[in-house]
Amino acid sequence: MREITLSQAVNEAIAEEMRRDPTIFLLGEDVAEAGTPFKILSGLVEEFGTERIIDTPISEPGFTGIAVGAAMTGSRPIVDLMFGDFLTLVMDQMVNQAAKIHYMSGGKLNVPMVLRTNMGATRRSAAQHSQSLHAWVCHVPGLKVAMPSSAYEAKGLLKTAIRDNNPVIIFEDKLMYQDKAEVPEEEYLIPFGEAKIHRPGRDITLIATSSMVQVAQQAAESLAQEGIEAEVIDPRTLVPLDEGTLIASVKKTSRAIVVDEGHRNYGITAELASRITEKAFYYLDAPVQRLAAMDVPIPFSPPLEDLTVPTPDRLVVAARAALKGELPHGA
Amino acid sequence: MVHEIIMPALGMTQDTGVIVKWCKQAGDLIATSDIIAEVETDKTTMEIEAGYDGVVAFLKAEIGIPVPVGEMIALLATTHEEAVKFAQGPAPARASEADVAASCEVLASPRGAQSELPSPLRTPATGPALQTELQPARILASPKARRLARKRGINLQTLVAQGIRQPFHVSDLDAIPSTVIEPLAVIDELQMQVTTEIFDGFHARIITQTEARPTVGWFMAALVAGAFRKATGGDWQSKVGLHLKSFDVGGDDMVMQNPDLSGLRGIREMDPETPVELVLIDLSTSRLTEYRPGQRHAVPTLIMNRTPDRRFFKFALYYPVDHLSRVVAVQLLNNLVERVEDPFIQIL
Repeated sequence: MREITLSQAVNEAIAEEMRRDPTIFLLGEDVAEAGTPFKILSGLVEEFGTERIIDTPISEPGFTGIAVGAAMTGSRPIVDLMFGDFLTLVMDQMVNQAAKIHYMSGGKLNVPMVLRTNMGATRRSAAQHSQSLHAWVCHVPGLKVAMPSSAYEAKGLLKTAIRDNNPVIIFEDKLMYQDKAEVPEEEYLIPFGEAKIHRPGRDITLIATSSMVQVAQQAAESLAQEGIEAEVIDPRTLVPLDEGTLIASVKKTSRAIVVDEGHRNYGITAELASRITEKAFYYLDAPVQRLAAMDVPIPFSPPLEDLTVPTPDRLVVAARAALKGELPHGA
Repeated sequence: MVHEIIMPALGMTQDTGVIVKWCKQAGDLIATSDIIAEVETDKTTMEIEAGYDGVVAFLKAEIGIPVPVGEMIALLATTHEEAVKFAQGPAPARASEADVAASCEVLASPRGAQSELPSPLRTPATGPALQTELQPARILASPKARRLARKRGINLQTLVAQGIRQPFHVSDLDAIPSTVIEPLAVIDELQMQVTTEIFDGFHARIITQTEARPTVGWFMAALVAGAFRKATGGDWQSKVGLHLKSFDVGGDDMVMQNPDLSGLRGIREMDPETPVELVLIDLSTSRLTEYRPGQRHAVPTLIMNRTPDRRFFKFALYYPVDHLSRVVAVQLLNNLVERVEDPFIQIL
């Protein structure tokens, strides 16, 4: 099968959907002429014109608000938010407007919009352009949240997001834009709320999101050399969440580590670990562990920045400790 | 730098606390969140955290002797050297002990002999304190290990005795040879008999009045749970898990919770992992006349059957004596037969 980069996969998904449905348009900063700083959207303006690929001023609250209104009145806008860190600027549009309108209109209005943005540290972009803030929007009922872990997932999830009648936020890891994966030529969609088991195993479940799936897979390979078989699961969408697959896996392995690149405090890892202990408590043979970004502003210094994110080595150490029964137990 | 660990105030009206167990000894390294002792008050037993990192210099309070709130119970030092120094030298503890003794002397009889002081410091432990002392310390095990141990009839104390490091995991259970597995406890057996007439009349009426069509087993389960709740203190908040089994193919086999409170229509099948206080085995739907649960049965088990003329229920209660006291067991059966004779008691 052909291999394409995550950035090409996103580009293809948008182009295919825009050809299929004339109500889809895209707006954001530097999306037309520049094709975004990551060159994801190159070529789209040539095909669809500046009516449907719209360069906006630096005004995130403004153009996101436009998208919410357009979605309410029959269009299917895709908002390009240049950095996930700028979520702070569009929270009112997403949280108080987009997430609530279907409910508050008694189901009369839908908001079929997609907010594409990114996440992920270690690009030396410093504290204001390196955050992974997806936990914030996962907390809000009415928003769906997808976290592609490869080019294949990025394309299938984005196409599903565009066709969804509700607001969907997609977080792409900005370090993965050039990563290649097998992506079929023919059309496919990835349904929301279906986790993917990337690697089966019997000893420990590694639940990982976005680029942390790669971290988990590398850790699983090292662990396999020690005879430890780790199961790697990617929820793919955090809202809706495929809890069943996670719980079934933990019931099988009796151990789990949750890996996510958001901050650890009150984050995704806490939520997933909590669900496991609620629903698989009597199957656990070790405390559920969490690996996440350190609770500090992401440092600009490369050696320091590298310390703040989960790595395969740290995951291996944590998994080994769980298998050997060497975890602290609070007494 | 030394830190005093004092008797904490664990309750609003508490004046003294009793150390029931020291978890650390003099010379032990200790971390802030480590448990140094278990303290009993008139209401509860609690684990006391050290609160500082360091080395235990000495333990001052004696097990079983009430200590006034705020009084030092142990001293922590930063280093081993410091610990040794304070353990041997004139520690501040000794001084304060002398102070207390002196002040007691003033209040005491003119004879002033310390051994005769009416001070609470010298009151021997009685009643609840002694009971707590006899209870084994809490054993640490993973939820799965604990569940499997119960299922396999492995007493975790066996692993403690073998010196296996806690918390226990499933691998620790797998490692012990089956010959080492001891029966959990002495099983006691009690039997009682009661007429079926009123119960059956009630049950017949319920069947005609509800769509749920509860089986005899369900109805009995509700009465048993009610009897058990009353025998164990009558707390409406506590959860009574009950596993109803019959040996009939397709017969009852479900875990229920609080069937006495939920009403017969509200009985739901629970997750099989739900903790169970009692197993109720209904032999009355089969022609079996007797069943004795195996020696390793950890959960009290009540067998119900009918006499061949079907005029009497026969109950046999098998219970590990360390799980249920005989007083409670007898009370349970008494309450149950009362309810079978007059199910209105249950409703009231």
